[in-house]
This record gives sequence, structure tokens and C-alpha cells, in this order.
Amino acid sequence: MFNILVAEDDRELRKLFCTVLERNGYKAFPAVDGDDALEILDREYIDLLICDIMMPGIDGFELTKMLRESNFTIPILMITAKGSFADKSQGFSSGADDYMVKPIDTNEMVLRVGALLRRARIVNERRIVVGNTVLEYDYLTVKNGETELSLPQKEFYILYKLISEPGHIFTRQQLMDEFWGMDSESDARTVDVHINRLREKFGDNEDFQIVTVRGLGYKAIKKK
Amino acid sequence: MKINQHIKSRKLWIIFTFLTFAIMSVTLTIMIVAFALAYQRGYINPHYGMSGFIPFSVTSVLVATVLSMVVSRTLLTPIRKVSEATKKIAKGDFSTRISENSFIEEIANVGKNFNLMMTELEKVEGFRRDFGASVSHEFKTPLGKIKGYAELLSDGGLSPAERDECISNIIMGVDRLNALSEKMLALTQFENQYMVLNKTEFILSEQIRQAFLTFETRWVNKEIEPIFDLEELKFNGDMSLIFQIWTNLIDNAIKFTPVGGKIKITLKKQDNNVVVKIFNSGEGISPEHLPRIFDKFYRVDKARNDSGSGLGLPLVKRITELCGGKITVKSEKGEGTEFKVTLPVE
Repeated sequence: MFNILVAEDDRELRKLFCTVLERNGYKAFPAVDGDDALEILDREYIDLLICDIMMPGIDGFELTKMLRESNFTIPILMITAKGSFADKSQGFSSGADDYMVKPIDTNEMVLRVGALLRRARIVNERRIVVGNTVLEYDYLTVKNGETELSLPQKEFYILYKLISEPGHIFTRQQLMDEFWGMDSESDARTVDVHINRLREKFGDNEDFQIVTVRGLGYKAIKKK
Repeated sequence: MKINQHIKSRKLWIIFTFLTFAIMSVTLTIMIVAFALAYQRGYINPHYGMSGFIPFSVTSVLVATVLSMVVSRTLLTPIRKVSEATKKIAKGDFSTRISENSFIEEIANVGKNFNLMMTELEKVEGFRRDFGASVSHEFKTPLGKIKGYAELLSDGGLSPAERDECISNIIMGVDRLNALSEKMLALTQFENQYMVLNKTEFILSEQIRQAFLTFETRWVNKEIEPIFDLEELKFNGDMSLIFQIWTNLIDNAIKFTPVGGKIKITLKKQDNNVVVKIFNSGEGISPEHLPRIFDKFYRVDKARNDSGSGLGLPLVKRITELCGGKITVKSEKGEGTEFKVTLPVE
């Protein structure tokens, strides 16, 4: 049972979110503002935080920053009425994991909560299992049945990232930024080289496949 | 109202110096003539030379004052006119204009700039009025539908399937209103003639990719094939505004591409511009609709019950213009539609 903290100053919205979450098998903890949220985080074990940006007192950005600075790594889903790109990027750079714009489609909210918790579990467990293949983050190994393959760091991280969100397309630039750093001298074709190596090694893997979406990027898909 | 400036304007100080000189000269001439006449007729005793000074001075001052008054009244008239004009404008008459004719350059400029300001204000006011009327209509339609469905539900007696349909129609209506209000806000913000752009350097090709990926769920579900041919280009511009160009065009492209269709996006540098083409396969737009698609609230298919706001393309056009670029569209019935955005490189 996952505990979700809902920080939203609008009473009706807060009730709505909590009801929807509980109906989907989560335990919801309502908070009326940032201070209330901090107090609950002290008392209870929380798996995920949903917070509104516009709140009296400590707003959503500040709350997220404070939590990240205190090494709270729980996934944070930010909700706001503003929809401009600038606000989205500010949301992500403050430490939020995902961002939704009002009016909230509660079905979508539940899906995103699920995805965030899965991702967090993967990060926490530091392993991904897909079919018979197991990727171990701490050892940079890919085990398939009897065979265990040890990969160079960047190759492993790229594979891990792709498989942690199966079906989701990542652009070369995204992978570059994440694993080579923003100011890297290498160019995006380095990513292609690593992908080719991965394909050579896992071409006959029955559980997943790396697909090129020409011009866009790469994705990993699960083979059924 | 055509206003012609047919008097050549000169600098104020030249005029004032000339005027002062003229006034004093005229005054002195009048006085000398008056005294000459008086002396000739014997009204003035030459022995009273010194005491003749006082009447002379007093008269000088009087004459000079009267002349100056008359002249400065002429100079002050334009200022009075401006004051009267602004009172009229405050009452709401935006068609008010003032004369641009004056032999004084600065005053002619006041008239010119004032009228320029009024022309811009009139445009804004006109836009506001038209927009207000259209917006009101655009809101009333979905609101009416939502109310209708809600009343149907409230009356009761519907089968579960009918109830579900009512509810999903209400949700669709709300989505449509939401999209409308967002776009409206964006559009009104951009209607200013001059907008401060927050320019930064960013990778344009990556921005287009990310814009496309924000709609991943939708085009994947529609099995749309993406064909990308982007030159890796850096661009200096307002990232947030330009991002909206792509998201709006891609949103449209996905909406009008049939299942299994394709969307092709290309990016090239051409002379001093970057050219982005967004093509989607589909039934295309017929020639009679094509020139009007950038009009606010214009919809090709009036019966279409989609959540579009009718403001996406006007917004794209406005943003493109603000960035100093232009957007064109071409379409072939049965083939598809291509939007071409050209943005100048600094």
C-alpha cells in the first residue's frame, strides 16, 4: 500500500484527489499547505508527493527545493494552473519528477502516479526485470538465464534508461545530457555508437529490443 | 481622415529669437514714429528730453506686452488643442486627431506622434471589441452544450449508456473551454505591437523533437509514422514562445492526420533564415478555406466537435510575426497539408 501526500490548498480539489487515489488502492494524506505537508512528512512514511504550486506560505517550488536539499528522494508530482513552457522547466529544475496542468484529468493523474512509483521502485531497487533478463544497476550487469554480461558504464546506463521506460522515445540529446553532462565535447553520434554496440550484444535477446525512430531517437520495447 | 503637413516646420528657438527681435523692433519703430510725429506736431517739448523717457518706456512695455500676448497665444493654441483632444479621448472617442500643421517643428511632431498613438489605440480598441464579441460566442456554445447535457442527466430516466454519453460530452465541453481560455490568454498577451522577447541560445532541432514527443501518446495511438529530417541547428530566440509554434502546429497535424498516416518535419538553414516545414498526410484543406485558416476562431469543419479552440493557428502566426518571421501553408486535397515557418537568424 503506497502512501501519497496531497498538498493542495483548494478544499474541493484536495478532497477530489484523495478520493480518486483511495479508490485506486492508495492511502491518501491531505495537506492544506506547505507547512502542513512538512509536518505530515515528519510523522508518516510517504511514498509520493502531489503538490500544487500556488499555495499560501511555502509554495510548491520552495517545498520541492527544501525536500531535495534535505535528501528526500520521493517522487514529486507538481500541479499548477499555469501551462507555459517556462513554468514547466522551472518545475523540473526545482526537483519535481513530473508536472500536470489544471484542470487535472484524474485518470491521467492516477496513471502518472503509478508510473512515478514504478520508476522510483526501479531506482530504489536498482534492478529491472524484463522477461528473463535482469539488469543490475550496482553491478552494471545484464543477466539472461545463465549468461551474465558485464557492460561498460555508459552502455549500461543507456540500456537501463531505455528499459526503465519501455516504449518511450529518448532523443540522442537527452541521453547525451544525462550521461555525458551538459557541457560535454562529444557529439550526439557517440550515442549511436553505444546503441550499435548494445544491439550487437543483445540482438538475439528475446525479452527486449532497441528500436530506432529515425530523426527522433531510440526506444526499448518489450518483446512479447 | 487624411492629415497633410503642408507648412514647413522650423526650430522653436529660431522662431522665438526672431519673434522677440521682431516684437522689440516693431515696438521701437512704433515709438520712434510716434515720437517723431509728436515732436513734429510740437506736442513734445525738447527741453523735457529726460522726462520724455518715462512715457517712452511705459509705452514700450505696453506695446511689447500686447504684441507678445497676441503672439504667445498663437503658440499656446496647439497645446490647448492637445488638451481638448485628450479630454475627448478620455470620453471614449478614439477617432480624435489633432492637426500636424505648424511652422514650429516640435509642435508639428507633437501632433504627428499624438495621431500615431491614437491610430494604435484605435486598433487595439477595435480588436478588443471584435474579440470580445467572438469570444463571448465561442464560450456560449460549449457552455450551452454542457448545460444541456447536465439538465438531461438531472431529468433522469436515461439508460446507463445514455448517461455515460452525456457525461463524456460534458467532459469534452469542459476540455474545449479550457483549451479556449488558455489560447485566448496567450493571444491577448501577444497582441502588443512590441513585445520584449527573452532571447537565449538553444538547439532548435532538439526543441522540435521535444515538442513532438510531448504528444507521444497521441501519435503512437494513432499509429502515425514520424519522418524527421532536421539539420542540427542552434538558434537564438525566445525559447518559450517558439516552442509554442511547434506544439500548436504539431497538435493540429496530429489531429488532422488519419490513423496510420504520417507527419514529416524538416529543418534547414536557408540564407539568413531557418525554415521548418511540418507536413501531415490527410485530406488536406480546400482552396476556399486555405486563406482563412489563420483567422481567429475560423474552423474548416463547422460541425466538427473537437476540443480545438480555433485560436491555435492565429497564435502561431502572431508568435512567428513577433519573432520577425513568417508562416505559409499549402495543401492538396487528398494528399495533406504543409506549414512552412521561416524565422530570421540574428
